[in-house]
Amino acid sequence: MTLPFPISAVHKGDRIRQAISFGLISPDVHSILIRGPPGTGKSVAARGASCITDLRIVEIPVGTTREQLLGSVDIESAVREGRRKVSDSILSRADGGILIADNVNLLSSDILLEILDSLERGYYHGEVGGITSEGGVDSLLVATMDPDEGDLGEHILDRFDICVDVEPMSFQEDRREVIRRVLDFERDPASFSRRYSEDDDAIRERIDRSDCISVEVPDGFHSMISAICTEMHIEGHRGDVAVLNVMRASAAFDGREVVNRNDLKRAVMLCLQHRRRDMPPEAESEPEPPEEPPEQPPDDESQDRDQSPDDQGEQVQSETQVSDGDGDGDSEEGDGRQASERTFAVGEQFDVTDYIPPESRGSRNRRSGRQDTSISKDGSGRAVGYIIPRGKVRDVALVASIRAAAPYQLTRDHHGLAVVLENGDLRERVRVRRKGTTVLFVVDGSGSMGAQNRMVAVKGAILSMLTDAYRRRDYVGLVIFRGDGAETVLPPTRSVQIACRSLEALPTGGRTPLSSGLREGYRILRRDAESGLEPVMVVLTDGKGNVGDGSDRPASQVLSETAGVIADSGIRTIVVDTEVGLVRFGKALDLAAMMESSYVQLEDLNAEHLSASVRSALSLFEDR
Amino acid sequence: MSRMTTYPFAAIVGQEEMKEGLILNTINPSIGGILIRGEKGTAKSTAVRALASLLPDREVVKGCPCGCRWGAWDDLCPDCQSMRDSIEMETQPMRVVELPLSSTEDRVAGTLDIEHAITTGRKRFEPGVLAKANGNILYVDEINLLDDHIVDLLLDSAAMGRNFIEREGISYSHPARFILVGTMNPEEGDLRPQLLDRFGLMVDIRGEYDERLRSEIIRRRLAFERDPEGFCSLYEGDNVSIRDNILAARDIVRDIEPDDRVLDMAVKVSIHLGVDGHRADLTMVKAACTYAAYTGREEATPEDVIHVSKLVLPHRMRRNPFQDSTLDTGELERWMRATAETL
Repeated sequence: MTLPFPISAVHKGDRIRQAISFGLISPDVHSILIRGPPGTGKSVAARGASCITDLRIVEIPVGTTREQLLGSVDIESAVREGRRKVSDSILSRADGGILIADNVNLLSSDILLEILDSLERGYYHGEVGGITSEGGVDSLLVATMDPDEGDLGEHILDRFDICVDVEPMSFQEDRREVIRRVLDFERDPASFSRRYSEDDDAIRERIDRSDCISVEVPDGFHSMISAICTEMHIEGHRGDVAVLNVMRASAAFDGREVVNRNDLKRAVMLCLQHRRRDMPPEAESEPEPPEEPPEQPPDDESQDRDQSPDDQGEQVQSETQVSDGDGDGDSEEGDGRQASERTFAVGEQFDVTDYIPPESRGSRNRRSGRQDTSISKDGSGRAVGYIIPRGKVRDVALVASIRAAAPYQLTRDHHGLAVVLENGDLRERVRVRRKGTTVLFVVDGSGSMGAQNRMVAVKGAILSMLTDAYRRRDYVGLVIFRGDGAETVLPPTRSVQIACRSLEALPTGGRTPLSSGLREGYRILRRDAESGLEPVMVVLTDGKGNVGDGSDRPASQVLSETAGVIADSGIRTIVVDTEVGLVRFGKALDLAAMMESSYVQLEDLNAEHLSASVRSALSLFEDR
Repeated sequence: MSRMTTYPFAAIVGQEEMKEGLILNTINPSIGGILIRGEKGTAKSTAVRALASLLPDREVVKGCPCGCRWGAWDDLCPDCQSMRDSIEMETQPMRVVELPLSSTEDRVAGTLDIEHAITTGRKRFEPGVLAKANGNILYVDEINLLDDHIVDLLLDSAAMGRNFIEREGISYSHPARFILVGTMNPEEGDLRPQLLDRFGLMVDIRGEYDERLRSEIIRRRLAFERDPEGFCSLYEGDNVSIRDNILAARDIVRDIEPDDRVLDMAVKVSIHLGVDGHRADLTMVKAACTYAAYTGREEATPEDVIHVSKLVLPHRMRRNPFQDSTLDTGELERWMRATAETL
């Protein structure tokens, strides 16, 4: 194997070095997660573990299946001896070694949970392919991920004992140093490694010398840990336990037999940041041990500064100002009958809340990206396992079939064949495709939306929802209704770039043919029904439809009929109410009721607003 | 296709940025590949094939299906590793390995050799596309249309330089160092930013609209089809001098040590544009050194960084992946020149 980049040469990598060292020292620390944007050296740092320990490294590639992880019937003994024997598995090999998983958020969540469970329990147990596979596994998982590719759910995050966030470096000197080191390493790995071998060896020795079993934790610390966890709104007790274990490893690493406040501080930084819910203002909850920290990495300061409560307050405030400004706009322009057409700019973007109810996505957790998968019927997608088929077998899982046939080979008539398969042996592959959602935005482009520059905010909201859709890899489409009818501006696509461009050019003006808009949206989603994607219609309107279907029936009757059809179709709909002002008609709420939609007001889409309000509620509580 | 009938690289009209990006990668594969964005019929695959065919043969372990490089003793597949004492060397032409859109995961990563398993009862690894691509060029047409899970596979092994296989009872790993050349038509969907960042360079290309150039393209194409060998011999001289330049540059680039001005130039422009991560900085420095070597110089300058920045930065511009990356190259170049003065 090629030489790993020395872990001591990871610039400003104190936190990572601590994390991996403590993980190696403590028998109770089983998993470390390294998070950060692409190109920040996460994988390099993870593999740096091999510079400070001789433990075997076992890789978990992205497409790993259960049978590979836990073991299944071994094909060699199946074919040669007609015997069922458990095959070698990733977890059996990982016993006494280190597991490395890059892009762990792209691993399917049940596989990841299986790994984390097994490591926590210290043994693995699988029933795969009619055979029981079990054994002890003592191993340290070092995983990496880029949160932009899809977050892990909170319950999975909580399972990681330690989490280190790698921040991109913003200072010229730091970045220059990073490049310098990488170039030097690539030019001559051997001599570069020699340059750092002393430092690596020093860490290795400290780890080898460490004995965290005999480290003592003075009385006051337990209550201090619970107090910190409570203050940081940590749910469950995994956080407390992790802090305790890491604290002892930290003391052992420093060669002490009693933990001190510095150990506590280190452990809190490593174990609790990823577990906190609804981040309260950082500085308040930061435990401030009176003792001065000896090796606090300098970049912490800038990190704290970025998220200081002042900044957040300011941000929220400026957003409020924007919407205030909207409210003050002249309302005369908003006459719905006005024929003139305007194109509004795209307003401010924000992180959207989970406005699409999870049950309509069939997903398990928020922004889980790849984990939204469904069983594929057409033989495409990733193979994740196999089943005993019902009916005709189309997609034979050959290896699984051979394994199933193995025990009978000794008694079957071979007719010169190496392996005899009978119908009952056949297994069919199970494949999954990412479960996609088509989010179709049906946007009110009537004159009333131009009122008070409402369209600016609406466009900002749509762009924010597009951003969200991208993270989830949804398909997005855009329908606009105004004047005399509705128009599909963008049929469902995965190119969010195109969606953005058509959004910018979206004009406003004229009357409100709401029913036509809904019908057009319905048509598009029905047309794509075959694709296997879950259809979701997001209607952005104030609900004041005033154009019928060209017949002499009143617009309201046409609207309620259309809404009824959509309600019956089972297409999930969400009405985003764009109405503002003192006097509200609440028509959008009526529409939501008719379509059996979820209903949300435009302002409530903004996760910032929501969490800000939760935050202020919390601070009230704390003051008391 | 025999090597004789490959369209000569030197005869390709226009598309200078694409050609330069490809050449820089063949001189220094650690630049990290190239993404070519643009319409169909713009000589993308012709250029890649043409370039591969003019490169000299590679020295590999004889008969190794993973194409283990001769001499890379710490980067072999397990089979070559276990037969270290008996392996021999052979030479192979540089190949362009294609990854078809319909590829399944097991064909890309490799899997259990079923036939071998049934007939002999022994597990054996059956190499996939990534093994074939080792040491060669991996060409992925319309990479933005590839299934997510295949893209993840590519991403993983491209980053590690090694392909880890865990499937059907096979646990195996082999070197997977390839020049990744992807093409895409941006109208047909985006590429995830994480994958974008993995590409060292990116060029946007379009068909030539200059009438004279267009007719020249067609004239040459027809001449080539009429008499491939005769046509190739016309460009043999030019092809040879491109190859000689590449080979010379490979020797020079190893010894170029970028000074602080070069590093600072790269870092400053990244910070100026708000590019996260270190890949952009690193790629800019590497590409600058490689470009200096290609033009026969043994020292890289901030000017080289300015030159390659238009290949390194455009696809890394967007922090928000949906807004069009609007890199005003003219503006940027002025800014960079002004900055270069201060170094």
